[in-house]
Amino acid sequence: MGSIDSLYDKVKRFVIEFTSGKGTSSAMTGYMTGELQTVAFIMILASFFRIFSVPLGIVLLAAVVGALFFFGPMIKAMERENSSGLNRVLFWVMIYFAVIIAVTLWG
Amino acid sequence: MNESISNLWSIPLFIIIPILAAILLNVLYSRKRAISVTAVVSSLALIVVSVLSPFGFHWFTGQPAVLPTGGYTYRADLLGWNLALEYYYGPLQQIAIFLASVLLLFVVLIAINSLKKNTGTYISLLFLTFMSAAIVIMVNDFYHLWIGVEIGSLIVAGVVLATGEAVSQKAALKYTFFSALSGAGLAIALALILGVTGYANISDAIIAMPLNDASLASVLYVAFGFTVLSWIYAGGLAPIHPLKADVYGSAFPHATILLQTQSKLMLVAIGLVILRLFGTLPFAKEVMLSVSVLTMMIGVVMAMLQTDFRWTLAYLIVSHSGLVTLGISLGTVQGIIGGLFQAVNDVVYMSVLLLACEGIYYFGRGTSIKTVSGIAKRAPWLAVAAIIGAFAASGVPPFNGFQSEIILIQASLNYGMPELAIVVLMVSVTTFIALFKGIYNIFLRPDDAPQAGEKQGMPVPRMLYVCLAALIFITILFGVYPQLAINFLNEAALKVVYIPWVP
Amino acid sequence: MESKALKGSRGIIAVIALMIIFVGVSTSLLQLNGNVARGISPEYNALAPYEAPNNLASWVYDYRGFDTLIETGVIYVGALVSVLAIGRGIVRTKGVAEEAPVAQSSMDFHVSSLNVILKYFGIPVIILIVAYSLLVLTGAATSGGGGFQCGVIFSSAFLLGMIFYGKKNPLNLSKKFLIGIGGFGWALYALLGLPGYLVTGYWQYNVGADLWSSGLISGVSGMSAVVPDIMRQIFGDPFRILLVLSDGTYASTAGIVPLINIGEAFNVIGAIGLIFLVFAYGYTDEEGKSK
Repeated sequence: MGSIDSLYDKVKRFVIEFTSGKGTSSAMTGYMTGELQTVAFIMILASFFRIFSVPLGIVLLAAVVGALFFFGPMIKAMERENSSGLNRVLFWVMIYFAVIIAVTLWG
Repeated sequence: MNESISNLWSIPLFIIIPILAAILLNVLYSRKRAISVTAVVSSLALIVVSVLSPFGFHWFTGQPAVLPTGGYTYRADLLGWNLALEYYYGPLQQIAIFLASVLLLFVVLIAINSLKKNTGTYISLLFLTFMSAAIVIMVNDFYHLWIGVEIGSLIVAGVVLATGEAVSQKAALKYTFFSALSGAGLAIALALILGVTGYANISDAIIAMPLNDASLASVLYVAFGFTVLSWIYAGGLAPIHPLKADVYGSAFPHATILLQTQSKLMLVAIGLVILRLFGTLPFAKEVMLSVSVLTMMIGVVMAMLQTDFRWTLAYLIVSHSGLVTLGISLGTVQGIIGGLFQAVNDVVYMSVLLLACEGIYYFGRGTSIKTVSGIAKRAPWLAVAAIIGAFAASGVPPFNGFQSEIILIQASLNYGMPELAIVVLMVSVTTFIALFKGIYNIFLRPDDAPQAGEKQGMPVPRMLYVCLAALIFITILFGVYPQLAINFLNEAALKVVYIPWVP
Repeated sequence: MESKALKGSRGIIAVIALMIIFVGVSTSLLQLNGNVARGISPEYNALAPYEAPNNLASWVYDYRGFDTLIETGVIYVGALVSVLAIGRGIVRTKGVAEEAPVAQSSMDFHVSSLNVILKYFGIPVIILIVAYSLLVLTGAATSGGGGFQCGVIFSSAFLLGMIFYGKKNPLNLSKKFLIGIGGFGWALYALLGLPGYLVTGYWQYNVGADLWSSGLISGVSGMSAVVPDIMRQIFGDPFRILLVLSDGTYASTAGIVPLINIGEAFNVIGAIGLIFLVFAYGYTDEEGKSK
């Protein structure tokens, strides 16, 4: 039972979370648009699973929409994961390569 | 269509002219006049050779091919196992190398005009960048492809280092660190392919490929994985994109023109090699497609977050590499044509934007959207060029980006993947937003910086405007007559899909 | 660059990923066992006795000679870029205030504390190493070895001289000289393709060996030009030797391979020597100008 007050707080927290530090309006635009793009993109990715079966796609899409609301702004995590730190890039290269090997060899 | 000539005169010149020019320029080092003459004459020679050359093959060192029936032949259209290293110069190679050499000329002219001190080494590295791009796009040999990619990444590091800033040193170091990883990966892939087929020549390897031998399937898959890894690296696709974007962002904007041309050509060349060698394996296209889609979206979202115009462009270049590879990984004729055409267009309109960015640089306050403003008042033509570049990049009709993106969208719809079409649309729309965020702040926002006593930097060189005009002309030309470029790309696409053993 | 990135759950995921990669690659290597195809290599081996008597030399500098040209370029560019990182060739934009280039300080050498025995032992060792490098170079066409090795051995002598005697060592090669011979070496290699290109149209056709137009190997159709005798005189015969093998006697010649080796050696000496010199003493433009 959330009152209007707490809803306002929630929205405020949500917004503050991805403007911390860089509060200029043009940077803010970037973060907001980036967030929306990411959400839309992840939904499109989920809908790709219709190739295997349509119900699976629908279930995944619903699950992803729920998860997106639950986990809040994605864009900060996205920015962090896409930073050019050597270890981070190395980590993601390993993950990609393992997925490629696993999918092609045992898919 | 099937050229028989195996000693085409022009092919060695594309490699030897840049090598000799680079050596000479490096030795000249700080002699301004001699450097200008050498660089301009050599790049003009490359343009002339690329225009005049007919199509055909070159078998370096003049070793013939071994006929299956025994005996030797020098005719390239007969089926035979090549003893020599093989290069191919066809329509795709012609338009790619022509564009690259024109861009090389522009970049050299701008570098001569705007840089001071010891430009010899830097311009020699620009020539070597062209050389590595030419090698990779023409070669039909797996081992030589590896060498091309290897020397290419080293040269990229050099071009970035030449700015001498701490950020570019970091970028170059990280980039070369990963070159060890992916270079070794491509070498392992080469070893595995050589192991199962015994041929380094790609066309020969495809014929000898044991596709039906189930016991060797996993060897091919691992070779595929490693080749994709080096493809990702050479083109700056998804997991490596932060490093590639750093490289693009921290080099001089005019140098980034050549760097992005090189990496687009590498994407095209290695992409086509992967399609020809592994295109029939299950999951191969799916892996390539997913890498492309991720690159496109992550690149464009990261471009939104940047506050420096150079870095916005850097991430957009990465993101648009995804458009190129999307077309190639669809594996249909239409898709490949779209991908190749996108590569051509991308190189042109990104060059327009990068030159506009270079123009901003001369006003002496950097390229960050926080510090620069009101440039349109001082350089209206620069603003016009940047806006045209932005329109072309986001696929607005009279410009070239529209023509290739529409082919890509149609290709994805015909492939039965409307989601891909949506992603392409999202990329072009977000490209528009990201670019106009920068363009508005830099060009159109009123100048709020203190005017008095501020250093104005140097006037934008006139040469830069000439180059911009020429590039905008190409942008509109390909936008209005796309057939001019597509006619060159058809053949490559048809050959990859229908007769994959001919490059 | 935080090492935290690979700790905790991310580290575990990374380890799992590495294990998947390891299993995948090793199964594929196991499958390759016993299934290696010979492909084109028997053809190369059948032709080997006609080419450079050293099979390795004919592979590296003839069949795959153009590969080696670009590989040589990798060494040259490697030296160029390494030295660029130290400071040679950094460019500035005219009239635009930029961040000052990152400066590297030179390494600190204390030559004075060197043992007397080592000091007197040094010069003969350097002479011997240089002589050995020349031996390797000149024997390249007939025995194992070649330009790469010569260059590496020679520059090890240079490094030894630098360690023992400091900047004024017996070899005393300047930066400009090293850059010059490095460039000369690569250019020589590149231009040695020209004779073959002019007479047959094939870049880096091994003019002296001249297997295909001299009728040594028959069954070729389509080879248009024939190497004139004068070219064969210049490039071929000084190196021609008789090779007596169990399956016959071959008149074998290395053609331009020994010359390519010399270019290669110059290039490697220039490149690696430059890296040694600049990494030890740093790079300043002023010194270059005074010479």
